[in-house]
Amino acid sequence: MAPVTTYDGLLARIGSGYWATQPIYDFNGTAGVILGGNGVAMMRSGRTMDLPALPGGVSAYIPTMIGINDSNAAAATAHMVVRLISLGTLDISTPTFTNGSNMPTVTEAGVSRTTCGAVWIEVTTALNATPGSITITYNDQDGNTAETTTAQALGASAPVGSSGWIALNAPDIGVRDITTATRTGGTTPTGVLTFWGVIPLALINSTTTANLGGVENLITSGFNCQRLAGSEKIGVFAIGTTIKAISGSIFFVGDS
Amino acid sequence: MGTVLNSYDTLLSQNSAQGPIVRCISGLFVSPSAATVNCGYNTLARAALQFTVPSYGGAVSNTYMTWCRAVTNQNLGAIVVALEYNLGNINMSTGTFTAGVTMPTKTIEGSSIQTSSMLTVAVVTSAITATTPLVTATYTDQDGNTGNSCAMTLPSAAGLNSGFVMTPHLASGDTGVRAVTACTKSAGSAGTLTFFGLLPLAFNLNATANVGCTSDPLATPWPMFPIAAGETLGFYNFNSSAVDFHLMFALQPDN
Repeated sequence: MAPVTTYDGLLARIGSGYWATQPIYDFNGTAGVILGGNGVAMMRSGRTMDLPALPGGVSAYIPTMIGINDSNAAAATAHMVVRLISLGTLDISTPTFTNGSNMPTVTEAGVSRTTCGAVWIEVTTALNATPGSITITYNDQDGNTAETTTAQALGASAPVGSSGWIALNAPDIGVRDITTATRTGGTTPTGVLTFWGVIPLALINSTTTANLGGVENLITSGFNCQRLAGSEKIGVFAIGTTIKAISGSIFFVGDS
Repeated sequence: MGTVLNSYDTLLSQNSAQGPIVRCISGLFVSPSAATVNCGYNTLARAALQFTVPSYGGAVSNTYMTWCRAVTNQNLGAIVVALEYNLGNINMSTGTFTAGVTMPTKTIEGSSIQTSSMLTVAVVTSAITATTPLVTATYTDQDGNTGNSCAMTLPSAAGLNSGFVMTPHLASGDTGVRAVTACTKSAGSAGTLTFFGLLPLAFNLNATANVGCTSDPLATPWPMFPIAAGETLGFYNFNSSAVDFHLMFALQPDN
């Protein structure tokens, strides 16, 4: 069956029952710690969502609306909702890099290509007080021969959920793949990092009024229509270190 | 001529058939050298990163930016995402001017239009050693008239990626630049000043640190410029601070 190509078509799919909602939630009670070269700390504000396998009659998930409520009134915060591709993990103790996936092959403006993304790290096992610095070796947005970044200092005692962005070599704006990563320096460093390639879906602002969240309509407001496969991962990140508890949902229309 | 802006159905149809280009770019804006009333008024930084638009398939003529989001850790500023054209540069040591391109011709709402820059910026692309240099650019204006000049006195030793808006200093009545044809400088022993003509695609107004700003070109009274394969998107920040940024945007294919 042909994919949805009209607004009426989207509505018809909803009317025929081809829609779903997935929850967004998490409590992050420990402030993030800044990654070297970043101007401010980032942190995960929502746990990773694994989309279910595509059901029968559905060729892709089309997110149309995302809403997030943040219970923390201390500071207004942007929650960046992104598709996540695990490019690999790094146990900084040995150090040992475990390779992940490449960025996906997609059709962009009529061309099938491996897309690229910014690289955001996430601390998945807390770092000790002297974790050292990290570098990644990557293929850039054009698929050029792998190159290695300048070392970035890890944040001392960075808790689980602490995050940051990897500074690539100028003038690169994204990576297709991380071929390896390593840690240098530190004193008996311990901890584990995940390297995420990110493709943006939405940005939701919470305010200084507790429980007053925001909604992004991806079709009739700002147009950012994407098709997601089953089992894709979605995550939420925030800038700043204010602890937060978020809840919300993503509404999907099932493409035909 | 493309039809993607004619209806949501056409937008959805092209999005499905050809696929959008969606990116997230994370980086730093430097703390630029401060502008003065003699060089642009508003302090401005250019990001060291630019986005080169990838190639398109045969059924795609252009793309349009329909979604743009930005987050920084700054209070009070504006992030501009723009089509960027290198109009030329001056070597601040030798005084040699090297011409760049002329602003492009684009088909906008069915008419072929010779564009002129909506924002013209002089950017320090290698650090300048000079004491309050007077830089005078000669240019072709928005109507194709030649020989007008724009004079700015830059701050001493302007830092890398500092930008100075030329628009307030254009000749009386001029609003834009088609080309820079010559340039002189009164002082300097090192560095390069490059002139960029900008066609803005999105303005993201940032009031509060760590709060995202949005730009929805489809929903705002804004000329939507068609974006050709191979063109360059530059990123600028009207703010004096060194800040992280996360820029997210989506380009939709036209037929």
